[in-house]
Amino acid sequence: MSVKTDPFVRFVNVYKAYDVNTMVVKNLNLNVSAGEFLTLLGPSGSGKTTTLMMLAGFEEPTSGEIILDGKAINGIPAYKRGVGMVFQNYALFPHMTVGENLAFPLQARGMPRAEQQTRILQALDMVKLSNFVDRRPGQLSGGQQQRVALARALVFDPSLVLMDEPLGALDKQLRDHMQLEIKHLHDRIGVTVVYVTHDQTEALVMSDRVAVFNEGKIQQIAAPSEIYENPTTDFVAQFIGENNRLEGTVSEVRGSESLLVLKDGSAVRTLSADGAIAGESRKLSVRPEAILVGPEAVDLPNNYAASVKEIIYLGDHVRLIVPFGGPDELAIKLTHRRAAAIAVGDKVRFGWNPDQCRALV
Amino acid sequence: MSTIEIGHDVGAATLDKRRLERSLQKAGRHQRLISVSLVAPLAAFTFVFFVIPIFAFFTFSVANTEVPRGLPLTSEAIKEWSGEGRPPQPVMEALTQDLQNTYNRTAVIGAARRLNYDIAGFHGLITKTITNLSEPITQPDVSSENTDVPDGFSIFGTSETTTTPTQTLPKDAGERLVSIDSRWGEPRYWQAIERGTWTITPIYLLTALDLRIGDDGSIESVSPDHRIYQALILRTFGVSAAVTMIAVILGFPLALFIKRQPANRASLIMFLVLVPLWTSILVRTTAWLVLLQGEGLLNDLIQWLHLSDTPIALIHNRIGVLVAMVHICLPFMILPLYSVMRSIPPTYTRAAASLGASPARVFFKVYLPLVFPGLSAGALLVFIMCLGFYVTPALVGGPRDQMLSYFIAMAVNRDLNWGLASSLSIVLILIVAIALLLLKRFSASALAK
Repeated sequence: MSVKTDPFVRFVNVYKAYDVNTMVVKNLNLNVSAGEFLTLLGPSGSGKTTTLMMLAGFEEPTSGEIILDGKAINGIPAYKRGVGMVFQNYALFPHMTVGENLAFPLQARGMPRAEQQTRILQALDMVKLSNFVDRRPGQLSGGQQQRVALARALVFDPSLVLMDEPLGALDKQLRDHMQLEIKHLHDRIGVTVVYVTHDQTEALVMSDRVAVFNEGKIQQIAAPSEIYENPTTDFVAQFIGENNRLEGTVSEVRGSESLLVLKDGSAVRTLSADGAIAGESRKLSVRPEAILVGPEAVDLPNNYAASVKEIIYLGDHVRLIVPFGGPDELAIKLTHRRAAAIAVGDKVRFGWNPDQCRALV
Repeated sequence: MSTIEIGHDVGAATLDKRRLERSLQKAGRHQRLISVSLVAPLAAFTFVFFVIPIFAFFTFSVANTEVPRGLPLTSEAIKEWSGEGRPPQPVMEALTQDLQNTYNRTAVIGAARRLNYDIAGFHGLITKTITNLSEPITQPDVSSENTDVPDGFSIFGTSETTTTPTQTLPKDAGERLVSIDSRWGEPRYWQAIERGTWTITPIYLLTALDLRIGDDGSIESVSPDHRIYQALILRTFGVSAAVTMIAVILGFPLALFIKRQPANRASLIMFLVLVPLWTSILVRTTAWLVLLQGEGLLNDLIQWLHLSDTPIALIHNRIGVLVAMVHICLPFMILPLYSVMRSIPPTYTRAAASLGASPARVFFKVYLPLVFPGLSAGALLVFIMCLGFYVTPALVGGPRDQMLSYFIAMAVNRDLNWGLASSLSIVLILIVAIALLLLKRFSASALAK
């Protein structure tokens, strides 16, 4: 799989409004490279599904242009776009067998029957369901149905496949399994995928790039590791992974680093890449696993002491809750071994490096 | 030792299982009792007012009790007859006695009516024979009767004296009957009486299909000028099918339209669709009478617009019947269609479009098969309702637009011919059954494709 640099899909200044009062998508500019797996991630109502529907041709942009493979596709109906799509509820036609479902896009394209059969078997082979040609969708499990839907969206060799929360209806274990299966399938056939989900783990596991949507705007678009480790807005930091969010005021700026004073007067040295100004109020973001406890914390630039308020057992790790930053609390992720000596009420020292935290807007 | 233990364990396990089963059954009994008692009143009602009457129809349509009841002696005697030529003397005598039995007169008339269904004119033959048999043989007796009349005991006196002479038969019974009416000499009248003594009779069912039992005992069509029921059945079927078709053509787009509206407007439109159901069929039909008649609103409008100078016949013909019936049936088409359409998520059509299917392909290959259950339910509902329509064709139709139920009502009310009424009802039931079977087969094959 090689990701080409020239964009395969482009959204140029796209706006979408359903009525006068609600602008669902605001000034969207988005490029998708050929062969890329791009995930649109966001809470419900953030505009991610509308973006996908505009690309599929089920919604028309109010203004702006969508370009697919060098051609503007505004006004071209969905059935002429040649874009495969997988839906959350699978949308397999219940009155057709698995084979007939897969034959449907091929018949629509007037493909000879013999070629249809080989294509169908190939596609079913790809999702490991070759023996299910004559079954009806109602006789399949949820995971099998979704694999058939996947095969149906790929059987006519589209260059772009859209997926609208395809794993939303599956249970957690199956979801985890299907995430990897879809990822491997994508690696193998190199089709461009635009994937919509509200599940951040799914986005991190599968994508080449993630676009985080909120209130009709892209908050950040980057590779999963960048999104997690380097969130550029408070919303992204909160939405992806676990996050400690502490309000404070910038008191001093030194290059990319600044000093943030929290409500309880604690001063925190932190990164603030997007040019913080002294006196501005910012939200500090620090991941629970970035915080060290005990002797290791003593030498850190940011280190504090407080009594443990609560210890929460979470199976593979333990979470300490300590009061910090005024009204706020800090969650600290610890292994069992490190947490063994700590009890509720103990005074502990904890801290983190300035490059492990961010002052965000 | 160990085997004994195992055996013991197995025994205990099965015992426990049985006990568990019993206790589960006990626990379920209360629940079952409640659910049965909930439907018991309806079940009883349905049985008494629906199952039993339908069963009665089937019985009435083949019942054949009138002749044995009205002509008991003849029925007994005619068993000896071979069916060839003129029946033997004892049969003739038995018939003469049966017809002279004044105490059984009502049953005799019933038998006469029943025989008339078999051979037209039989009723007249029997009444004529009864009258002639009761006439005195000797003229002098009659004149003495006439002189007795002024005495004031006319009624009793007459009946006594008229029956006395007939008791003594001057000629043999057969000759006397033939002398009253030569038709008694024809074997087919006696064959009809013989057929009247069968346990069950096919004549009502045959009549309902314009068939009859011929003189040679085989089943044949009635003469062309007596054929009404085949055409009637075809007409009933045709009108119902036409109304169903028009209801589909009008109802489908409307249901589609309602489904596409936002929720509050959709419920308003559904409300409007259902408003006509608040008034009785009679009122709605009468309204069409007002609208469509020669001096009605529609004709006034047509003439005012100079589309036609003379009133157009819109009522008392097929047009009026179709318009009024479609209007009455349309809600029953829209309701199931709309509810099924609403249950189909838009993702199916979207998926079909994303797979490259043109709108027409999406409609015929995906949407129509998915809507089919609602479409067939609506069509069947409308079709079956139409089969039984009575008031509407009677009011807005002409004589050539009346349907089966009109003739059923006529058979019951005017002709007191319950056998024919039941047979026609059975024809209706059969049409419904055939429609159901066709639809089932059609839907199964359509979905399989």
